[in-house]
Amino acid sequence: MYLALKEIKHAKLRYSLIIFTIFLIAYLIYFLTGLAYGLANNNRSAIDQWHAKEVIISQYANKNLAASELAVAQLPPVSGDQKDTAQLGQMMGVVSGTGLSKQNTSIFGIAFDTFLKPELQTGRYPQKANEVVVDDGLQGVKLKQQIKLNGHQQQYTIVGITNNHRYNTQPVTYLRLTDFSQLRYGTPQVTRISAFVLKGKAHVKATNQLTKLTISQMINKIPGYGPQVKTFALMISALLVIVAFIVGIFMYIITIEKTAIYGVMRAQGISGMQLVISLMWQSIFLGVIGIGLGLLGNVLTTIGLPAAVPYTNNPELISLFSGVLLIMTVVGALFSIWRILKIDPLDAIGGA
Amino acid sequence: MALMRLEKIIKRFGTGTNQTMALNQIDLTIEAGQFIGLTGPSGSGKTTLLTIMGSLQGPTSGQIFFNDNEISQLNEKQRSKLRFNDFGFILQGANLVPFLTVNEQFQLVDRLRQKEGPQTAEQLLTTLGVWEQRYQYPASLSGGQRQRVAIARALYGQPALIFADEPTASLDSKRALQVAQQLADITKQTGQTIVMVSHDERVLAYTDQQYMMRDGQLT
Repeated sequence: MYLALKEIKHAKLRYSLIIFTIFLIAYLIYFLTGLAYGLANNNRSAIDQWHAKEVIISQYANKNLAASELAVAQLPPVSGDQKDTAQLGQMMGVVSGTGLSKQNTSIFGIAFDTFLKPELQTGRYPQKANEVVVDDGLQGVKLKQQIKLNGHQQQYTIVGITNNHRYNTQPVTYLRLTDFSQLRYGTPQVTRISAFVLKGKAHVKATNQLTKLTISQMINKIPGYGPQVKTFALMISALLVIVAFIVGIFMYIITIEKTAIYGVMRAQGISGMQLVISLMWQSIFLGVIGIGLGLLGNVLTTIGLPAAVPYTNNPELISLFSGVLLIMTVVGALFSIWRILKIDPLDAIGGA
Repeated sequence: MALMRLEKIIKRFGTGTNQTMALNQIDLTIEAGQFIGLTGPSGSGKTTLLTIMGSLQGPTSGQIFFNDNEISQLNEKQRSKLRFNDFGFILQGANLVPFLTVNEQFQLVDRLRQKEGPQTAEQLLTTLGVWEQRYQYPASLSGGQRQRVAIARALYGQPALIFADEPTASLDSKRALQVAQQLADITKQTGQTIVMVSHDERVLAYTDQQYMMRDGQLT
């Protein structure tokens, strides 16, 4: 460690360049992770808060909630606690109103006495017809405001506001099931819904008319969600591999430059292993400082980004990627080990 | 008891028709406290002999004894340990670690040995007249100062045997003779043994015993 620190201190510019490179890659990884997680979160945050287990949708929906339509009469009997089951209506929509620009929304029809009811940031749950809860992701919404949905003449009153309740990237508007039925099918009689949601020990036997999906399967079938997550995962994986090569190339060039002095040190009896340990410490120091700066950059980015950008930090993912980055930094330095071990102390004498 | 004994040392390089006999049946005994000079024309095998004695490479055949222990068959790890604990090296060029100050060159040895040497770095550097430069990096020292620091570094820890390969080659005449005098004084004062390769007869005049090498043989 002594040698490693002394060398870094002596050649500040050279090692600063390596640290700067690691910082840039670390920062890019954190930034992409923040965006990827933020976008993913925007697709599913309303679903995650259900803490549900499964959904039952129409088998003709191709596992896509938005395309599912079930007749309530079609639902099979439920075993287990009835409180662990809930009916869900879902459709995409457009919110408009006085002082409001047209905005896309995901409309959920629910019974507000089931586990599907959202956590409110302010206000109360709907108690009578045409009262709604909206997410604050809809710009300009406030309590008691009148809104319209999908261009219908019916006015809805906002009685509650949620925070970060989105589905398929759109803020969610929650209606009572009867209002949802009126909006979608033109009748307050709830005869058709989109899905049946189960949690806990509730169980339903799937029939040939129905498809049972886990929540994770349902989210992965949100149009665009899977490819988006895979694209980000691939980009981040590629960056993790690239960092190993960049550090490896830097360290290898530096090692080649130091061949003569390593030869002298070997001649003086300093073992190859001690030089390798020094190299490893160097890579750990460079990695820790570069990653630390990347984390700092990420914190500043989080503070500075506008709220409209879907950027969310996930401590577990950041810790995981930081650890992998550090490992890849050390792996990069491993490329130079064979070179150090191959150095002949005779090089110091100039052949013989 | 001889400090080092070489018996019928042969060293060949290359194979087949390209084979060269660098050392041919070398027998040599080195007593403790001697300052030995090794001279000869270029290509005569001086440096090869020095590196074999210094355990930097092994002989093709023959035996080497250090303090009556056979050392010619040691593996690299054992040779490395031997060099670190018992041998010192003063080389032609800068053999100092460029990113350590003069003082830190000695601290590195202390850290690796996990103890201080019998002579402090201050004593050695003061004796060799470079104590004032202790906080400087090798690159900012003159050639003479660098070489004297290298000598102090080689003597640090009081190794029994010091190998010097043209230690005065990069110095002016006045400084070369000063260094030769200091090496001679060290053998007298500390009982350490020095084997020095040099072409300079004025420098060799300070040694206790001189060997001439010619075509891989000692004369």
